Amino acid sequence: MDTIKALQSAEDHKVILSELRLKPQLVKDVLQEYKENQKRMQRLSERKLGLGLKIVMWGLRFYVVFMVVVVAINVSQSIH
Amino acid sequence: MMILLKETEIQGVKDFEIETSADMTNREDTSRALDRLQVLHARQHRRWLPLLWLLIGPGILVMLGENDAPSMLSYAATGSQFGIGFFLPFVLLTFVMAFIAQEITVRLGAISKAGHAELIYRRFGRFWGNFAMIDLLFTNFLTLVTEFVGIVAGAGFFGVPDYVAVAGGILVITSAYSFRRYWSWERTVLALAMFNLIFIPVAGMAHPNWGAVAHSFFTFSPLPGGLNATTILILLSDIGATITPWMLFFQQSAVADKGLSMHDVNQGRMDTAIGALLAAVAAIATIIATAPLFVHHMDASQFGAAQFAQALVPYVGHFGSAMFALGILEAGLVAATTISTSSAYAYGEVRRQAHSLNKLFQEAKPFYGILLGVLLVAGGVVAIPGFPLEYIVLVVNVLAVLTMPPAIAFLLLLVNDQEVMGEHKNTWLLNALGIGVAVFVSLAGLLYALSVIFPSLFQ
Repeated sequence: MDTIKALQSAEDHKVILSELRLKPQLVKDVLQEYKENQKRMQRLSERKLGLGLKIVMWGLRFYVVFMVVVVAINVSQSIH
Repeated sequence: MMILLKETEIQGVKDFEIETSADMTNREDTSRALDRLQVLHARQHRRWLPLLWLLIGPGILVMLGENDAPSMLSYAATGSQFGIGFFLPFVLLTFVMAFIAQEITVRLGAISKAGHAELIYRRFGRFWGNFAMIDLLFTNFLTLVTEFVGIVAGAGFFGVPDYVAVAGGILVITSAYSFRRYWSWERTVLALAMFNLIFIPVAGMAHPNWGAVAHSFFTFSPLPGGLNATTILILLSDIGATITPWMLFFQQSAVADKGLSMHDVNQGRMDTAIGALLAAVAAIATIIATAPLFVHHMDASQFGAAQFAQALVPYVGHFGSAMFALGILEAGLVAATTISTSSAYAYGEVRRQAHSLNKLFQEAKPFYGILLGVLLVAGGVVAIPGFPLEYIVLVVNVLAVLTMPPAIAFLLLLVNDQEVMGEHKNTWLLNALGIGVAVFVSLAGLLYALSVIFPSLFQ
């Protein structure tokens, strides 16, 4: 309820950045979800890639390299 | 507190650590909290329009930002070489595909609060992350160079020397960062991005046959010349004018920096849809505006921005041409801003350094350093006399399309990652749509490769 009151207060008084800096608890409450999610992401580790997924990713990597060569050929053809 | 508790319950996260007051009152947090306070207040009082106003930004910016100088040149080339026909509905279709891809970044950013580069490194490791970053930074740099080509060409129409245009462009772009708040930066660039719609009145000045315009949307025709090598190049260039890797990185990072929560996803979707619609209308208007060049059989295949504006004088008048040149200039400015920001976000995320527009320069020197550095180098390249800029403009959209399939693969893997998305991971329908976009882009690339390696097949 404190946060809701603070929200109403924020609207009524058009709180500005410098005023908000003096209200660390309000900042903490408002950013609670944000901080939780950030921490959740920081705890994530590398996922294990299966063989199928590795094949797809290498396939896409070769696709890009091949296409860059094709673009180089196309530019060369355009110049000449 | 009820709203916040509800958000926590939905996520199912209970074991978070409470940060100290000192941590919580830094400038980045305070700025974001100020923005979130207004959002929470608007939602609490069911003020839906103010709520939408507060939450729009990343989607419109990314879509209008992608209507950049090479993209507008691609649309101008389309109109001048194919007129009103197949490409009008085709461009609309590419924006639908762009929406499908960008909507995923809204959910990823709102739920993970992490940038795209950060998530790729975290979940797939440095080896695969480096590949993604090479693709991004390489295409970003080339695209940035072409933005300055657009700035120089647009300003050149008004007699502004090249080096003055480059310096002026960098000054305008960096002044948007001087507000030192994400919100102020976003609103400034949004206002600038709205100038992209300047191509709409230019299209009206060209007095198009509106019946033919309507007919093309229903029939996807005519397509003069059929499916030849030129058509395929334009086709690929128009796809690259709408769907590119930097858009994925930028929007997810901007959504996280703006602080969107999972409750804001619908507004984030609306933001993306509005952006796609505005950008599609501007793109279609550009094709219509340059269609008179096709009707009058002018060879515009080697035209740059300034030549397009000059060539349009007999059909849209000097004022209309000036607006066209101004549009190219604006497109370059907005895209240079968003693309350089995309590079800086990605760099900061990968190096795990401060990367927020809510931070002061002193607090995020590498972030702002990369921003300024890429702008200066790209602008400097354009100022080099005799540098083959026309070839960079030619290939930049094509390269963007060709690097897109791995980017979409990472996007789909992340949005289906239970540990990242939890209950918000993709549904089968969204997966089908996403895979459809990936297949379409990949096949377009293969078609282009065939046209280059076996040109006789497409004569």
